[in-house]
Amino acid sequence: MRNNFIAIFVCLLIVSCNNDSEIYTVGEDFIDLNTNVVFIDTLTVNASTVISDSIVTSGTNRILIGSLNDPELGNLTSQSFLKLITSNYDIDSDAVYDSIGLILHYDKYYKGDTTKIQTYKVYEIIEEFEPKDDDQISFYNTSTLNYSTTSLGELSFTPFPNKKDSIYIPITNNLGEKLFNNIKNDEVTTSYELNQIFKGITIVSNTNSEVVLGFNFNTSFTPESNSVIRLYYTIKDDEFEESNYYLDFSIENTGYFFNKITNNKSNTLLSTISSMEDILPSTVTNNKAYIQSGTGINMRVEIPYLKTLNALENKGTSLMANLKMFPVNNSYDIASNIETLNVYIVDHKNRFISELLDVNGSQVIAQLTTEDNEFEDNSYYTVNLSSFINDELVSTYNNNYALLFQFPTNNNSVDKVAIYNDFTQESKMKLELIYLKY
Amino acid sequence: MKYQSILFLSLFTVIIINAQSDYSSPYSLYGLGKENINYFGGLSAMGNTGIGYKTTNTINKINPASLTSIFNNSFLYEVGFSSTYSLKNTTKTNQKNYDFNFTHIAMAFSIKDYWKTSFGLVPYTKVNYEIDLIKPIEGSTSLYTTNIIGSGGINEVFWTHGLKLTPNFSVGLEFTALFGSLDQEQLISFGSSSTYLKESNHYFGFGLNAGIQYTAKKFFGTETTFGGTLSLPSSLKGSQNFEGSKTYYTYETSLEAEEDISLEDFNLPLKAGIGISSKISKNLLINLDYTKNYWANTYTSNEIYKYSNQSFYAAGVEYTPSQNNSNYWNTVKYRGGVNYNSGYLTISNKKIDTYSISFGLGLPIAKNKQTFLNLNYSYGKEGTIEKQLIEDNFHKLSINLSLFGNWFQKQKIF
Repeated sequence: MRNNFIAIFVCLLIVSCNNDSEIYTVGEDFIDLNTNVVFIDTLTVNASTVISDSIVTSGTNRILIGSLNDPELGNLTSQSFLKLITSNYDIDSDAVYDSIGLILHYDKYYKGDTTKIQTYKVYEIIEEFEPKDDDQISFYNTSTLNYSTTSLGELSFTPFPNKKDSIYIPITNNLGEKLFNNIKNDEVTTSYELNQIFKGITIVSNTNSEVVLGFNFNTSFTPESNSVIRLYYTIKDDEFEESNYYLDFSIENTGYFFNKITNNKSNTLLSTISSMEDILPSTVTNNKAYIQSGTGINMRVEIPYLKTLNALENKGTSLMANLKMFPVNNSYDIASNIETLNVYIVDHKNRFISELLDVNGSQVIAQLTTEDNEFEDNSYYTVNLSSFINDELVSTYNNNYALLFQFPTNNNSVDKVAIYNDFTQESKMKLELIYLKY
Repeated sequence: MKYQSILFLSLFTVIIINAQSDYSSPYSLYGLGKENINYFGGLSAMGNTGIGYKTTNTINKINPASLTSIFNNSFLYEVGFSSTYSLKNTTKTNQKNYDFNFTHIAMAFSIKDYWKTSFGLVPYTKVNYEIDLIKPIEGSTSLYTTNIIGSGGINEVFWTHGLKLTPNFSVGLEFTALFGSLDQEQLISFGSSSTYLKESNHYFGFGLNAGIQYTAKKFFGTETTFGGTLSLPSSLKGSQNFEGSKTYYTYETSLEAEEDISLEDFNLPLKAGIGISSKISKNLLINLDYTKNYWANTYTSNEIYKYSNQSFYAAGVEYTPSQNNSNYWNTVKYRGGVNYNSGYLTISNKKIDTYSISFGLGLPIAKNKQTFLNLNYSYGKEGTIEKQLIEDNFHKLSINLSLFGNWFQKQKIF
């Protein structure tokens, strides 16, 4: 009897340890599943144009000067303000003043028609180089400083932003001699003392320049490509041979620089937008939504009926979501850098919530894809909204969050693109959703 | 003795966790899974027959009435295992499987000379499949894959009573409780995303089986027993738990889980069987069985598959050369059988039926010549490769240990 129990016990131990049964994997055709993956691209996508109150334009490295005629978004003007100082307050007592001028180095960025002759005028700033509002520490595209009405110098030229290095604008000797004598006589030995006699300059283009040019500056004092005011002087040596010298005045840090960029929307379809909260649907702007850097014109995209997916009979979850958007072909310059768009999540009043991130917390951008086609130029932006769509779908609140698109170069360029959203056309915006019903 | 019973019961609970039956089969996708077709003792070697079969030293679970024929005051145990090697074919591909399973455990004893009882555990059904599907996304030409894994099964605990009403006529009643969980896991992969869905379907219900046996001397050969069995329809209550998660690259989020979603009852059919077991001579015994399960009445069919009535035709023989102890091999029981199972599934208008042939040995392993190690081998073919279906060729070896003891007598045999 006891032996029997022992035998059972041993057998049961064997059973207890063995639980791995082989599994069948030959393919099947007769299975009936309750799960289904579907492709959905019929959700309504609404696009609209909105504006930022202002853009911080100090802190950048590009001097933008010029104007553009734009019947769609309004004529645009860009004017730069620069505070210039020097690191060397030591001029030999034998030195003799020669001349002074403003050197502006092309940084190869331009927007508009480069065949037009440009006339740049330089004016002296007549107030402290600091934001007018004491609370602000930066300058915005809407900021300005008072400057004298008589110009320090001017230049008319045909721009060659890719062929030539720089332009040279001669400046009045009144300023040159004032700076030279004060430094030579040791009356100005610090940047503070320099600021007492010279606050900075602003550069203004002619009003119908039809091109905005970008010039480079560098806050380190000696690079080849820097845009500076250069003061030339000579010193005679023992043999009475003249040697040439110069003293550069440059931008000490990017906080002492900004571009004032304005556009006059009053006679355009965008004239009704006055504040950040205003949302101008694409349906009232010829089925287009606009993005323009420098002026704060941004595109807003919403998917108003997204949550209706949750009301479907089956439960479901979004596996992947892509937004596809078609730019209007002639709405941008070939030279413009419109390859990518930054994307932000905003609320119903366009208040910033966060950058668009993927599940790993990395920034997601919209990327332009161009399919070379013999018959038509087919370009479109795609942006991966998988994480955003998922968050919206599982959120217990009705966030009503939207997406805001702008150029990565929003604070140092004047690029522009229009994006179609005509519901009746194939080129409307599409949210392409891979959706699992279970 | 009492502590031994306690020991036995504690071991029982270990088994419930691991109870599995039979071997992996894609056909276990349907309904409650694939039904267990392991029989006690040497009956697997006799073509799964046994409605009329009765024996003094082995539990015959096919017919509860047969319980009355075990020795008075005896105490029987039975435990079984099987291992299956199978080759599954479709028109395109084939696959080999090996599977090892526990198949049953039971005990039986007399309460009175006319009243015997048994109880035990058998896996009633088993679900075990893995299927990969590659399908286009609806509305798109992109493909996604679904990996479906089924597992689990329904277990049966039974408590059986056999009553001998006259020396030749016995009846039996078996109460069963059926319980278990059938799980289906799906892993749906598309691009960089994968979604895991798991449905656990829990079922619970009761069943009632009855049987009769009548023995006629000198009807044919030395002794012939007629048997009949009946299983009443029963229904299992079901509830489902759902859980899931979604992974995008390496980032995982869980889907909303749900518990106790009620499922439709699963109905088990009326089952009726008749059988004859005839001792042609002192050495030779023949079993003939016919069973019909009325699945067609219980289950609503759908487009993919339908349930239809299932018939079993089975025949088996058992030969014992001699009771002479002098030669061990003369005391061995030699068995053989054939079985046809029409199946209850019809898929793509093809019935999934099974043919099998079996052989076996009953090896006495104790001095009392009442304890047997039963080795059963069967070879069979299930299904078809037509209509994109699967044909399964299997070799199954099962080992059933039938232990015999005299409970109510003081130990004198050992």
